[in-house]
Amino acid sequence: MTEFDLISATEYSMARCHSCGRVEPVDAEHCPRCHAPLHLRKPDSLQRTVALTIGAVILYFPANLLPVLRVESTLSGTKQSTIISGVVQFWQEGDYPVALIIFIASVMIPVLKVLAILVLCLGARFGYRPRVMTQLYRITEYIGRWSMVDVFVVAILVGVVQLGSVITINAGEGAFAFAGVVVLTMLASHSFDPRLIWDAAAKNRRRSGRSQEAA
Amino acid sequence: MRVATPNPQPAVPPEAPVRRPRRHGTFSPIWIIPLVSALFGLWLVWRYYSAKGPEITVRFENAEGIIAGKTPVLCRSVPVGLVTQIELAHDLKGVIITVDMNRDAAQLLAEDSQIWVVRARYSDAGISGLNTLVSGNYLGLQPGVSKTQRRDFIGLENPPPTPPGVPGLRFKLIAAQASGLGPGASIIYKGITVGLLETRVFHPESGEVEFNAFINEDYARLVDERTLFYSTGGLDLKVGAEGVQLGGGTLASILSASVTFTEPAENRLRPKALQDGQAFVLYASLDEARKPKLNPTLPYLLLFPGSVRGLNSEASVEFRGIRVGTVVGASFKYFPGDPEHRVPVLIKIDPNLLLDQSENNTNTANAQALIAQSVQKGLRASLKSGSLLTGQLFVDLDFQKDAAPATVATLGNYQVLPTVPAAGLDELEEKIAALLDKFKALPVEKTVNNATDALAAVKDAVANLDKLMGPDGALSKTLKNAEKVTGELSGNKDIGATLHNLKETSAQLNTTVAALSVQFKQVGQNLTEASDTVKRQPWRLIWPSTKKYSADSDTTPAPPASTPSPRKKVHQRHH
Repeated sequence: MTEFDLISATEYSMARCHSCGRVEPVDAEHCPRCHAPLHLRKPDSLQRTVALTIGAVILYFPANLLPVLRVESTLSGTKQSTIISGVVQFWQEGDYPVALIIFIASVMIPVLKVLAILVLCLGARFGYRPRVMTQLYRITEYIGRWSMVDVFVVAILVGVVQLGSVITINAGEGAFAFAGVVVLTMLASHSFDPRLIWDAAAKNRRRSGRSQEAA
Repeated sequence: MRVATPNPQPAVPPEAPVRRPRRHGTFSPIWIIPLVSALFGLWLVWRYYSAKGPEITVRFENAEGIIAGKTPVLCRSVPVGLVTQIELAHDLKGVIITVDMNRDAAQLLAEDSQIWVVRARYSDAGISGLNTLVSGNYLGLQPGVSKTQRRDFIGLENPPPTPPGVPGLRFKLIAAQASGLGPGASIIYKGITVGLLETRVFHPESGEVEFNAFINEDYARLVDERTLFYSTGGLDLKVGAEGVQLGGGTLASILSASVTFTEPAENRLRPKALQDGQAFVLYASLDEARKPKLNPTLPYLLLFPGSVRGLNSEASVEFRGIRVGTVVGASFKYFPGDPEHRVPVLIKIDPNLLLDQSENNTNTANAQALIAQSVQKGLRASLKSGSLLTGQLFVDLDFQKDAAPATVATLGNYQVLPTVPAAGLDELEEKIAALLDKFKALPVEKTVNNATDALAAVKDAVANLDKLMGPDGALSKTLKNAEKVTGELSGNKDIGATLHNLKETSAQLNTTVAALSVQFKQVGQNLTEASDTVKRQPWRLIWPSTKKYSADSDTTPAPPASTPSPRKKVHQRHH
């Protein structure tokens, strides 16, 4: 599977500074350039990633079940809408692009991101198909930034539409939960160390090599 | 995470301590994050539901005019909730309306709270809900008084007339017929609305209509146990000895029926209102309410020898004009095989109407004893005509003076009361027959003979009269003498001459008077002239020859010219 050499800097106890990228022996404990703590790998990477992802999953339910937007109007009464009801409403009114954007950005991407992170954690744990995992990691990092769209929309609406008694828009509880989901998935993907994928892959290879030798 | 073990080739200083990550299974503080996010999520959920207030469902027959997300729930015109969802009930026989109540509206949702649709409607109580024509329909909520709460309500089709908390008397009225009375109909006492009917339920098994009625606290003490309730309204047409009377209250009371009740006994209010929940009978009219309630239980069999045509079942049994029982029926099945073919009539008598009502238990036996006693004293049953027009019969019980002694006999299962022959039309027939018999006994022939003699005498008298008036009769002679005297009188000529002279004399007298009157006229004219002249030319009294003025020329020459001619005429006539 791997045609290239799996020798890593870790084997020489060389650590790369997380903030400035300088490679230094890990014994220095602190980067001589920027004084950031030096680690061979991100500390507790998989544990942190999994914990943050589980937190995001927990918040994902209130984020979708509770209303994100609360429109209070003297003319038509109070109207609350969840993310899904908003999507449905836009779809029924024929605004298919808007409905699709909201659906993709607010429903699909968080779910996919969470799934991708969990898959990455498994891959990093068991060293399975490191090349695919790396690509998945890149995609995750790339699309994750779009999932804040909803929170921005709510924040803008709440700030802009405050017409006193005529119509008022408030952020619903779902918006807070949704913001929590977004923040937690961001932190989770940030705390994931992609080098672990290759560490696990190298370990697997050595193990299989050893078993071949034994055979 | 375990770090891969270093290869043997690259020299790793063995003394250099490799910072190894913590080992598997050690607990990282990062696991607080899912816990925190769970708590955060729970807090959000709690926040959402605590702000939301209770959610209730109301079941209605239809959702006419109710719009999800728009229709509010108002309690005393204060919004307390909003309809969020309308869906068909599972049995498809109604709609379930979901309402989000305000957070502080929980105490309004008592078990006996009532919810209804407020829309413009016309009822007995008037027109209501006109504002909904502009604002749209809404749900009305009437908070109950119960401590227990509920979340699923059955909506009322009509607004509840009286809130449960309002003090007053609540009772049931049971009627045989609804007769136009419905929820909202007024209870009127002396022309004042004192209460109303709240609900109407028909019980098919008993065939009764049950009303829940309410009387305001101010008037609750008017009602006591003996109060009679009856329905009024519409037009009241009475035909009686006073003529035809057409009665009716206000226009509203003519259009819609209402309930009224009798005055309390001795016009006295009860010291305290009755307990709620009592049941009263609602009569169709005051007459019906006043009618004694008949509960005939005591059967007797009557055997009538004549026809019972005109005797219906339910006809009354009366004792001296007071109804004491009712006719069950007339049929030979009650006593088959009677050799005399008498008609058996079964009646039932209400023992309570014969005796004091207080001794209820022994009334039946006592009444039987009383009737047996009375029969020995001459109590008899007979058929009497109730109406000459329709020929309806009723059974009359009365003492007969000359009745043959009899007792109450037992025949089969029945006690038999002795009867006397039918009264009424049959009686009339008998009387007419007796009258004819009397006629028959009269001495008609002798009378006729006497009459003939009398007529002969009259004839003689008439013949005498003829003789008197005949051509040679005394009367005729007298008349002739009278004629002769008058003829002599007219034949005398002197009388004619005398009369002629008299005529002439009077004519002359007439002429003389006429001439005299002309002369008098002349004199009068002259006098007028003279006085006129004196007035205008007084000097002529002294100087008569003075020149005449033109004004005088018209008057002065006329008299000398005209005066002689009448005088001449008079003279001519005299000659």
